[in-house]
Amino acid sequence: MPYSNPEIPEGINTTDTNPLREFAVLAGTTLAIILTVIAVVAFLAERLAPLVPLGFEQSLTRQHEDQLFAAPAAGSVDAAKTLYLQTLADDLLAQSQHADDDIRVTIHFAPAAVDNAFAAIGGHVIIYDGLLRRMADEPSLAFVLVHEIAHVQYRDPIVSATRALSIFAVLKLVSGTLDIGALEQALGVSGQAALLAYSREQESRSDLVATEMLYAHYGTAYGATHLLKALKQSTVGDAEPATFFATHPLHANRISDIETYALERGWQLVDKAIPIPFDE
Amino acid sequence: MVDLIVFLTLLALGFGVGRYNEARHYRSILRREALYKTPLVIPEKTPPPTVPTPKTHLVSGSVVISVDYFKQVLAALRGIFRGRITSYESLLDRARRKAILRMRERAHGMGANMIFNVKLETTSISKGSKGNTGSIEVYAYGTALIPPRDAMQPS
Amino acid sequence: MLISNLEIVPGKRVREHLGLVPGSTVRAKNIGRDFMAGLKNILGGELVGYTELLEEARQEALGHMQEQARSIGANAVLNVRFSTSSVAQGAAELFVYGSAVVIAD
Repeated sequence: MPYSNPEIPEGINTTDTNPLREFAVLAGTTLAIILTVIAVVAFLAERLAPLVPLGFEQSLTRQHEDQLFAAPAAGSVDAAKTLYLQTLADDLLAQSQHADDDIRVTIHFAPAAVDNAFAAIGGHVIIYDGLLRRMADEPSLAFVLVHEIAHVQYRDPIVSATRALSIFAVLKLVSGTLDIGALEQALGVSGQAALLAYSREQESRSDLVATEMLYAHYGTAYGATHLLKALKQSTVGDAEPATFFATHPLHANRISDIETYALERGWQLVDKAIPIPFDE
Repeated sequence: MVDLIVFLTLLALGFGVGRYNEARHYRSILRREALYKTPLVIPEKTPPPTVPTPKTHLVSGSVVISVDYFKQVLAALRGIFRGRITSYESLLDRARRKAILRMRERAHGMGANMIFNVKLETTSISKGSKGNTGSIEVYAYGTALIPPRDAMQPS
Repeated sequence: MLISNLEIVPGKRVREHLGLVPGSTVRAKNIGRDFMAGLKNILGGELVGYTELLEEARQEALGHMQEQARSIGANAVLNVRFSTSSVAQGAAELFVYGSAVVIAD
């Protein structure tokens, strides 16, 4: 009878590829594309965001200023602190090389025991009581102020906000296409890492501009290194986050960068301890 | 960060164990295919007229196989670019061959020498990670021709 | 009862054609919640439990079909075909149908 089942050779319906190699190629290409798109988007954000005039930023925030920043009661210690900080900031700004009539920095004192200060959009800088208490002398406080003022001058708040939004939008698009749950998380992490790298860049630049402004005002850049060394001392024992995931560069790196910058320009880092006129 | 580590661990696990399982699967399939050369599988509608007339009965074989995590991720990545999703090819090949083998084994147990009008049906059983197929079922069925016992023909 | 997916029965003649007899069961096919199946979805491999489950379900469907055929007086079902379709979220219908006939020598 002419019925039979001859043996069919293997490998016609299946392909004998090395799956690891295929994975590497595909994943590598995908990652490269994502990183390129992020870089382009971030570049555009950096160029286009500062075109929004600071005046516009300020008008945006002016409407909500009362709700966002509680004005201290007239005659209170908080009001005095706010006035002191604002005066110091205006003096530092006026004497710096980058004194610009358009830049108006509004200092807000927040009476919370938080060890932080930051610059927000619209030229608002918030300093917390917790940080103020840590300051040993005026030059150290001045360093914090000018560091934040430098952020405002370079439009860092609006640039970071735009950059973060754009990167977030790109990654959402990509993870929507890819449709793998865990990969979404992996992309989120790489997006964050990219943002933090840019953030560290901004912090470094602020440090150096701040050093310049300090020198212009006090004749010494002592305040910058003094504060950072104190901070470095106090974090000995607590682990600093790995550079990859840190918003600021490591203290040691910041200190050495500032020292190099100052020495290049022949600036002294001479001690000039001026006390802060508040009972700490 | 933790999610990334979990993802990579699952990926590695899927790759390693999946590969081992697949190799073992293929060895088993090849071994049994060599053993069960009869009954013959003929996907045609009309059996030849033979004397004495054989008995006929429906026979079937089925299998449900799932694909490992590494293959699913690879398929998703491949989905962005063009090309054959090679990671799933082996899944379907194994499932088909196993289903047909099981049908053969059952028919052999009945004493059949041929299976006619063989048809296959593939169904997606579960979704893996977000929409990709996680496991499939292949069902093979046909009619076994069983020659009467008193006049067994040599195969 | 003779069940076959051929159109003819060798050596026999079809005396009466009694029409379509369907047999079906609806089973939950969503296996996402089963731990072992979840594990197998990571590692790959055969889901033996589900193979058996579906085999049982198909046997049940075949049984229904035979019952239908018997009730209308048939003694064989020819040209049997299977069909699986997703009817609801996580559920599939296993459907068998064939032609109920009365065969004689």
